[in-house]
Amino acid sequence: MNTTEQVVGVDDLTVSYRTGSGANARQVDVLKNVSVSLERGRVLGLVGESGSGKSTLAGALLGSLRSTSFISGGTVSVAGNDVFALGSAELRRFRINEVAMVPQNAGNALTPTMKIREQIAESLHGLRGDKRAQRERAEELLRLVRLPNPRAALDRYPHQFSGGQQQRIGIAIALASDPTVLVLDEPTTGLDVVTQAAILDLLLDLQRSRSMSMVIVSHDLGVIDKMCSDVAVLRMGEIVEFGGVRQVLGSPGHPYTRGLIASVPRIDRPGIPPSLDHQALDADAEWVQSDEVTLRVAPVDAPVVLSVRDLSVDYRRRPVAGTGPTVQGVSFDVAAGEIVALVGESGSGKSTIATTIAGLQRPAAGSITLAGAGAAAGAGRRAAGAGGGAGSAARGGGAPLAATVARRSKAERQAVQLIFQNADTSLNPRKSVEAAIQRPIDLFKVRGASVAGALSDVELPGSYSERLPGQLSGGERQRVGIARAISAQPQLVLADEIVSALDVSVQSSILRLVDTLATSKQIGFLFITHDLAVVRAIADRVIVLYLGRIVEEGTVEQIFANVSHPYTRLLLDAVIELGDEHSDTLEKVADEVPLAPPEHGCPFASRCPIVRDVCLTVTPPDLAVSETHHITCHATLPELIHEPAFVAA
Amino acid sequence: MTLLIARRVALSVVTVLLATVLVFTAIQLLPGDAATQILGQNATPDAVATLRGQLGLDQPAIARFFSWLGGALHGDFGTSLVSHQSVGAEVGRALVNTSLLAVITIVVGITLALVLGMVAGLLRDKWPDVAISTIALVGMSVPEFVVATVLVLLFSITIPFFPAVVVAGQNATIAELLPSVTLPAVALIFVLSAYIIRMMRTSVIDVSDSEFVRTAVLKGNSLGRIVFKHILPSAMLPTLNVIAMNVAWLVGGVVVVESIFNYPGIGTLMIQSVQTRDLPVILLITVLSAVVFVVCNLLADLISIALNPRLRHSRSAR
Ligand SMILES: Nc1ncnc2c1ncn2[C@@H]1O[C@H](COP(=O)(O)OP(=O)(O)O)[C@@H](O)[C@H]1O
Ligand code: SF4
Ligand SMILES: [Mg+2]
Repeated sequence: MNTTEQVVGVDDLTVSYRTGSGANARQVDVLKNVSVSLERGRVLGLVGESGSGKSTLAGALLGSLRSTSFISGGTVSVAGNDVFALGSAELRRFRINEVAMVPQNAGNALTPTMKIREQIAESLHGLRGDKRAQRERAEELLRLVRLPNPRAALDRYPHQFSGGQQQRIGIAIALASDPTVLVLDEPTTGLDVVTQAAILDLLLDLQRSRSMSMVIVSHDLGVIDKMCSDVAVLRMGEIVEFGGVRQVLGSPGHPYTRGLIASVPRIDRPGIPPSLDHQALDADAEWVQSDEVTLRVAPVDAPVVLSVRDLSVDYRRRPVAGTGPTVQGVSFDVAAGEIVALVGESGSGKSTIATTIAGLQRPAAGSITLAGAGAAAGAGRRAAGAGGGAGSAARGGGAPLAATVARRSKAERQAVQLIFQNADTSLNPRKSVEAAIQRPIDLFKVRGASVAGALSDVELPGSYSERLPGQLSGGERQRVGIARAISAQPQLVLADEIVSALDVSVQSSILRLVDTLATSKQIGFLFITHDLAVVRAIADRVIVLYLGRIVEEGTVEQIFANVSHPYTRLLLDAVIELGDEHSDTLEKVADEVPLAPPEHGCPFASRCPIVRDVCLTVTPPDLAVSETHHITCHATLPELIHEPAFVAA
Repeated sequence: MTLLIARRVALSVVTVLLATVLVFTAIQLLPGDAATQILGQNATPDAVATLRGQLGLDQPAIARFFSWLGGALHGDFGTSLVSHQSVGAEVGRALVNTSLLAVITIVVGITLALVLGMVAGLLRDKWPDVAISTIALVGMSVPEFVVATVLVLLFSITIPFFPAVVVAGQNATIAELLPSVTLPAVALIFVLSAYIIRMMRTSVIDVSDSEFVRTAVLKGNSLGRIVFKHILPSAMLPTLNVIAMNVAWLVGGVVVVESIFNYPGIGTLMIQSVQTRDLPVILLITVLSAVVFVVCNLLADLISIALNPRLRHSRSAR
C-alpha cells in the first residue's frame, strides 16, 4: 500500500442553510470554500472557537449534515468515496466499512435503553449472527479501551457508567467496525485532566498500532498539539490556516492563529492572557495580537470575610461500611478582595462545599462564619449560641451562619452570592437582563445600586438591559450572571465553574473581570474550577480537594512550585499544554476516582504511587512546608519534591 | 423496587376507598332518595316512611356505609333498590357489554394511535404528518358527545349502514351487540387516540433529534433497527402516561357515548341509577371505575419500569 495515499479530501466545500422568509430570506454559509486533506495513517486536527464550523466539517466526512443544512458547493471524498454522491444503500455501506465517529459527549450518544453489548454488536458486521463471538469481541474491545471490569460491563446500560467510562465505551464502539478513518468530536472536553490524559494516550496507542487515520475536533490547542500531525484552523466557517501541526502552532502565519494561541492560559506562566480582538482582526488582516498578560496582585493583610472550620457534609442516608462522609474536616479562610481557588476532579465535593456555604445544603458538622455587616445582624439574634472557639479566625467578630438559607437573616443572604457554570440555565429565559439584575437590588434593598451601574461594572453596554438571555452570547450571559451577583453588594461570591463552558478568548476576558471586581470592590471570591491553567491565571491562594478532603493548600506560586502532594502532582503531570514534549505518557495510575472516600486513612491511598501501610488506617497529618503552604500526607518532605511545573521567567 | 410497587398498590387501595366515600356522600347530599323517586311526587309521607324502612334507608348514613362496605369486602354488593336484583349480577351484565366496547376501543385505538403518531413523527412536515396531525387536532378540540352525535346523524340519516342506535336492551347477547359496537367504538377511538397521537409524534421527533439516534444512523444501521431498537423504546416512555390518562378518561367517555347510542353498558346503567338514586348500583360502578383508573396508572408505571433501565437499575450499580 502506498504510504502517501490520501484518505480524506475535502475540496472547496461550502455548507449552508436558509433563514428568514419572503424578502428577508437569505443563505448563511456554515462552511465557506473549505479544503483540507489527510494522508493515510496521519491525524488531522480541526481547531477553532465554538460556532466556527468544526462539528459541521466533522459530520460532513460521514455524509451527515443537520437536517436544515445542505451542500452548496464542493466535494468530500473519504477512502475513495465521493461521500455526498452516494445513494442511501451505498452510504450505509460506506459508514459500515470506512468511517466511524465518536460524537461530542458520548454520554448522550449511547442509546439509554440498550445494553452496551448490543450497542457494540451493531458495529460487528463481520460476526453477524454469532452471538458468542460477538460477546467475546465486545469484551475484547472494552478491555482495549481499559474499561474496568469489561465482562460485567457488557450487560449494563449507559447510565451505569461515569462520563469517562462512557467516553471509553464510545471509542470501543467506533473501533468495533475497524474504520479506515476515525472521527472524534471533542473526545475529552468536559473530562477531568487525568481521565483526559489517559484517554488521549489510549487513542494515540491505538492509532499507532493500527496506523489508523484520525480526524480530531477540539477547541483545546494542547490536545491538538499532542495528538495531531496536521491541523486546520477554522474561523467563522473558513480555514485560515492549514498545515503541519508543528509549523502552524509553532510559528503561526495567520494573526487569528497567533491570537488564539496567545489567549490560552498556561500552568507554566502566571497571569491572565489577552483576549482575541475580533474587531481589530476584521479591520486589519495584518493586526498583531499583543501577548501581554494581566498579572493578578494578591491583597495584603486584608480582613477575613469567610472562615470555614471542620466542615463535613454527608449525603449518605445511612452509614455504608468502609466509606466516610462526602466532605470531611474542611477548614479554610477567604479574605476581602482575595480569590481563593478550589480545585479537584469531578465528584471531589467542590460544588457541595459551595452550596453548603450558600446554605442550600445542610452540613453534618463544622461551622461557617461570615465577618462584617452580614454576621453582625445574625450575631445579636444568636448571641448565646455564638462564640464557639472555631469562629475566632474571623476578625470582624462574626457569628456562625445558620445551616440553611431559610434561617439566615436577609443581611446574611445578601452577603453571600452564588454564580453558576451554566448562565443559560440559571437565568430565566423570559425575563429581561434588567429584571434579573433588579431582583436582588429590590430584595435586599441595596442602597446606591442600579442596573445601569451593575452593567457598567461588568463592561456591558447599558442598552443590554432590554435583552433576553437568548439574545446574549455565552460570555455575555456569564457577565449578566456576575452583574446579578455583585448588584447585591456581597462580601463573598461563590463562583462555580463559571468559565468552564467558554472559549479561551472569552474565558480570559471573564477572568480579567473577576480580577478587577475582586480588587476594586473588595469582594472575596471562592473560585471553583477543575482547570489548573485557570487557577494559575486568577487565584491568589489554592485549595486542592480530593474526595472531599483538603490535600494541599498554599499560595498560587507554592502550589505550582516543586513541593506537592502526590495528588496535586498527578494533576499537574496530566495537564496537556501547547508546546510540551508530549513524549512521556502519564505514569500508569488508576485514572478513575473511587466512588466514595474511604472511612479511614488517606483518601488518595488507592491511587498514590508512594502509598505506605499507615496511609490505609491513619488520617494523614498536616505537613507544613511553610507558614502558608500545607500538605496533608504521611510522606516526608523530600519525597514530595519533584520537577517544578514551570521554570520561573 | 418491590417496595416501590407495594407502596403503589397500597396507595391504589386507598384511592379506591376514598372514591367510594366521596360518591356515597355526594348521593346523600342530592335532594330526595330512592323511596321518594320510586313512589313519585304524590306519595304520602307514611308510604315513603314505610318504603324507607323496607329499603333500610332509615338507618344513619354512616351505619349504612359500613354495612355496605362489610358486604362488599365479601363480594356482596347488595340488591338494587329499584329492581331488587343482586347488584353484582346487574352490574356484571352491563360490565360485559361495556368491556366489549372498551376492549375494542383500547386495542384498536392505542395501536392505531401509536402507529399514526410514529409515522407522523418519522415523516415530520411531510403530507402524511400534516394529515395525521390535523385529524388529531380535531379529535382533541371536539368533545366526545359532539363526535357521537355527528356519527348518529350521519349514519342513521345519510348512510344507514351501521345501526346508529342500539335497540337491544340490557339483556342482549354479545352476538346481537357486535354490529352496534362499531359506531360507539369509532367515536371513542377518535377522541382517545388524538392525545396519544400528538404525544407519540412529539416524542418520536424529540428522540429522533437526539445524539444517540444520530450515532445509530452513522453506524450504518438499517432504518428498521434505528426505529425499533433506538427510537421506539425511548419514545414510548413519555407516551405511556398519556395512554394511561386516556384509558382512564375512557371510563367517563363511555358514560356519555353509551347513553347517546343507547348502548346497554355500564354508562347507561349509571345514568339510570343516578336518576333513581339506586345507591348500591352507583357505588359498585364507582368502585369499578376507580379500580380501572388506578390499575391503568399502575400498569403504566410498571411498563415504564420495564422499558427504562434507569428505573430498573439504580445509579449505585456502577
Ligand atoms: N442548519 C443550521 N441551522 C442553523 N444554524 C446552523 C446550522 N448548521 C450550523 N449552524 C450554525 O453554524 C455554526 C457552526 O456550527 P458547528 O459546526 O457546530 O461549530 P463548532 O463545532 O465549531 O462549535 C454554529 O453557530 C451553528 O449554530
Ligand atoms: S498520605 Fe500516603 S497515600 Fe496519602 S498521599 Fe500521602 S503518601 Fe500517598
Ligand atoms: Mg462542536
